[in-house]
Amino acid sequence: MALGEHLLLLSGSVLLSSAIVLVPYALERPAALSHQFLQAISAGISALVVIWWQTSLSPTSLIPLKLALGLCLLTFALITTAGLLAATTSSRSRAACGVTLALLIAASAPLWLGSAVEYFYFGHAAINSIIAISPVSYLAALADWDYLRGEWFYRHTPFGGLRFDYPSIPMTSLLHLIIGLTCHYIRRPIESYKTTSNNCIKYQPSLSI
Amino acid sequence: MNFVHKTIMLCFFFLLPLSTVTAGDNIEPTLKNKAKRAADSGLHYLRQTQAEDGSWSKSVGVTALALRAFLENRRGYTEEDGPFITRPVAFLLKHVNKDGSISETNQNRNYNTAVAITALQATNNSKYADVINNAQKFLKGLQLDTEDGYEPSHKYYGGIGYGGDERPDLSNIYHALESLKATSFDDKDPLWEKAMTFVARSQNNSETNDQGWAGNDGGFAYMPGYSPHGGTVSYGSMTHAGLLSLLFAGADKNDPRVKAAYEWIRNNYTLDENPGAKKNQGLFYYYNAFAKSMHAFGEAKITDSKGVTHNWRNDLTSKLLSIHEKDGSWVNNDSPRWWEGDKNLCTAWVVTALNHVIKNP
Repeated sequence: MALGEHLLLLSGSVLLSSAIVLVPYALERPAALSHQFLQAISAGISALVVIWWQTSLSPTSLIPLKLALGLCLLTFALITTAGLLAATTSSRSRAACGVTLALLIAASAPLWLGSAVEYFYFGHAAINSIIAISPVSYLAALADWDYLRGEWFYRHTPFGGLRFDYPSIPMTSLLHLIIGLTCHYIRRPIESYKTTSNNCIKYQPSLSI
Repeated sequence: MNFVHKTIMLCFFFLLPLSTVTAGDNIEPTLKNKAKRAADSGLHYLRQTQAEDGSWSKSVGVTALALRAFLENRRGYTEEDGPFITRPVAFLLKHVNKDGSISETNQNRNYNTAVAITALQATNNSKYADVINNAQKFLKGLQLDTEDGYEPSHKYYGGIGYGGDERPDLSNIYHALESLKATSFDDKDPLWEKAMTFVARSQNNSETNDQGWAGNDGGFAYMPGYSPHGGTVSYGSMTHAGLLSLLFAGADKNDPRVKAAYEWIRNNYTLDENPGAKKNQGLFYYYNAFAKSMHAFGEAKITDSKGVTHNWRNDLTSKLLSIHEKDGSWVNNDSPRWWEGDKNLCTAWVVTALNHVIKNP
């Protein structure tokens, strides 16, 4: 297996594990920003350990660090999005499932939108957007791996034969951070409001005689 | 009638049949003029769409192909003709990377580097020798061999891919070989033999291909065991690319792989589509490779499987004229695959094809 392919598989596995294990765990904990950052950092460190353990990359290579940082930001966005969903739906399990499902749908976007791209002759910007939706593209850009022209994806999506650019690493990283912070700060007033409403209901004096 | 008149008459009598043969082998004069005008019109279109920095489509690859179309044109454009030639050259040089590649992106590094050095070589300017040498080394480094863990028995041994994915294909190696040939890369280098192994393994010819999937029509698939048009089906663009790759790597007309490829071309002769391809995908790539391979093969006429003899120059010119857009460009209206929705790319490919048509056999 090519190194890039290996790195993508490892980092993808860490991301999926974060969605399945870390997100439900984080939802059980206090919603402080520092806690969420620490949980995201733990995903990044896990990625770093797995990559150094499983690949023969030189210790001076920056790729594992880039991937760890990228996974850290992706996990942060996942945790805070799940937190916002939990606050609005009042169901932690539903929020965790929703976020995992959304992650899987976004990750596989180049696969299931491939036929549409071929059929409707989407423009350059639309093609780039579809590719950018997928966190796999972000991880591939961090791993310096042209996955859409790799063996498997080239055979199963039309993107390898089209003109496209991978998402810009700085821009996508910043976007994940902004999504994470926005979700976090939207969640707080919603939770406060719900708590206040619940208290009002709880302590409403009985009108019955 | 004096002696001089008799001699002239006699010469005319004997030379007439010879001149008829030559005229039959050449493109029809009327079509040749139309081909020249169409090429001029394509170049005019490219002049209009050229960016301020000299590039086309913000791409090293498209810029190099368009530049090549100018430099190989019968009008003999050179850097002395002005910024429309010097600026694209500068654009290519601006994208020379430390590893020797010439590319604006980490993807497509093989294609970009290959077509860039072919264009730089076409300038005939010795100033670019170092850039070309480094790029040759870069291209050689992309070839998969035992150093990369690919044993000679591996189906990908000797192949070259996009440069960012480590899986090779015939189209990428064809461009790499074309550029190495054009830039006089050492013909004793083991690269050629390794490349020949990979190219042969992409051909549907069980006599010379040791892969179990190989059919026997003589055409080429995209890579060993895979064709984007289904299974391992042979198709026109790759068969012409395969034939050219064999010729670049040193095979001659008597080579069984070359004979088999030519047989496929005879059996599938058409310019109305990219034979074997879905939805006319890669049509202009096909026209470009067709012109170059037929020119390199050296036969002015080709007899198809029905026994009809074609002058390929006449046929290709007529076809290209029939699909020439009003603005002077060409574009694949059936499929944008492989960038053929880009008018600059298709126009550059067609002008290069016409440059080969106009050249004498």
